[in-house]
Amino acid sequence: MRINAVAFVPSAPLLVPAVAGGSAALDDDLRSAAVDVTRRLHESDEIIVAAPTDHAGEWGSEATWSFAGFGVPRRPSPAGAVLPWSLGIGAWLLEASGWSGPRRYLGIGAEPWSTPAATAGNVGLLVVGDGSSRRTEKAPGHLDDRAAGFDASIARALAGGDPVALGRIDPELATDLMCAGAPVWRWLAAALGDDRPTTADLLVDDARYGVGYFVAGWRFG
Amino acid sequence: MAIVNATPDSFYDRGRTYGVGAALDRIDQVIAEGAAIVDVGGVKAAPGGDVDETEELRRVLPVVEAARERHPDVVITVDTWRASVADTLCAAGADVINDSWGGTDPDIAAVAARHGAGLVCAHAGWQSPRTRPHRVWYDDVVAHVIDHVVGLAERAVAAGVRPDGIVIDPAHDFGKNSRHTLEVTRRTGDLVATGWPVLMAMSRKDFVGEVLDLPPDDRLEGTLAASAIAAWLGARVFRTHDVAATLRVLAVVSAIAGDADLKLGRRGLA
Repeated sequence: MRINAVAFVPSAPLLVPAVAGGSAALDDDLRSAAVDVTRRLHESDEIIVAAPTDHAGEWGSEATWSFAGFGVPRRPSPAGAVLPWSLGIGAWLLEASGWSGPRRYLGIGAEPWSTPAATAGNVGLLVVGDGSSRRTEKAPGHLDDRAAGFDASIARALAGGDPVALGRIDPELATDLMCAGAPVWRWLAAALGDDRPTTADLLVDDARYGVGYFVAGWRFG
Repeated sequence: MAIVNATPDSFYDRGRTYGVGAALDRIDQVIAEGAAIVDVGGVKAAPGGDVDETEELRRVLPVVEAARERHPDVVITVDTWRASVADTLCAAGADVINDSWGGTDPDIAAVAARHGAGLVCAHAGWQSPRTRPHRVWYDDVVAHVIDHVVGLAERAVAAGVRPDGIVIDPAHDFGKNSRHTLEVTRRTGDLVATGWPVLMAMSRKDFVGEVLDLPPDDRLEGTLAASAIAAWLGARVFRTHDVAATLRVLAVVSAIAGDADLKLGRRGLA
């Protein structure tokens, strides 16, 4: 698998306007940044969406998103398999960014991870996941004083193009801090092996709802 | 069912009825307004500073003891998830355990049985007490709620809880996002169809706040609208901060349903 670009986006359901409802516009900045960084993957021949899921799995281009389990009415008669919601966010971002090329969806469950089948050409990875959900008193997991430092180290790794640091995320601490992104970032570090990005930039690093949101892009070669 | 918070930090009243004197004043007032049940709780639902069993009892026990003495006929429920706390409070005269975190302490039904107390069987999606829902997914939230609360109710009966003391509560907002809670409310009839009496705890909660984008102080009308719908669909008990307003709404719903007669029958009839 020749990875030529990676885009990092949050796994917040409210990124999808139909989920956010009347408050969607309040997060247009976050949504636009996520769509913009997804669009950078359009130079690739294929895009693989990777997201944390309860069980590992792989889905093809025909799979589609639904947020019915969050109480959002399902789109009229979705064709194909319905993705787990975290991958659905990636699928929605691909659609919002205008991508109509080949794509696959990888649900990153527990270790050991399987490596997706290699394909010819360049692969762009859309990595869906976020930092601690315990950044503030009002956060989904309430405040944990360790969360800010934990997320700061992730932000540094994303800004510095440092997959080794992502691979070193402590899974137990990540679980304590309700960090949804840890498994997928650690998977990414393993998938990249010795590859290092030539450029890296971090577009968003905030915790507006107590969850660490990151938007970042890496380019290789 | 009137909410009596023996807490310094609950989301709406923010300590207004904290302390034995203030709690008893509140109890006197809601009974005067017509409440049939007073629900005393000592731990706020949201996360925050730890309130252990000793502290919970310090807050709630004297209120229950005094309320029992002053109001021998009112139904006193205690809002707690801890079997040990419920045990002490039932011994002090509480009639019903309001286990609003949905059976997280497996011993709570046995406590209710031992005291001949009633039990509220609620659904919080197996979330730990005092945790917020985060990206919770239900293939069918109402089916999940019914499985859970009916399962708890049947287990309670098997443990010896008096069947006429059991009510089920879908627990609005607990383990649910606002759309889940709205769907549960919309399908109140499905809960009623289980045959168990249905309790609705909706007062000034976030699902009303998110429909309207309003803070707790401005959620009364929204709560009353939801209460009217749920009452029309057959819910039987309404846990509320606002007793007089809720009773007026329920009286009108009952009259429309034909379950209650007019208090005045003069218009056009003299």
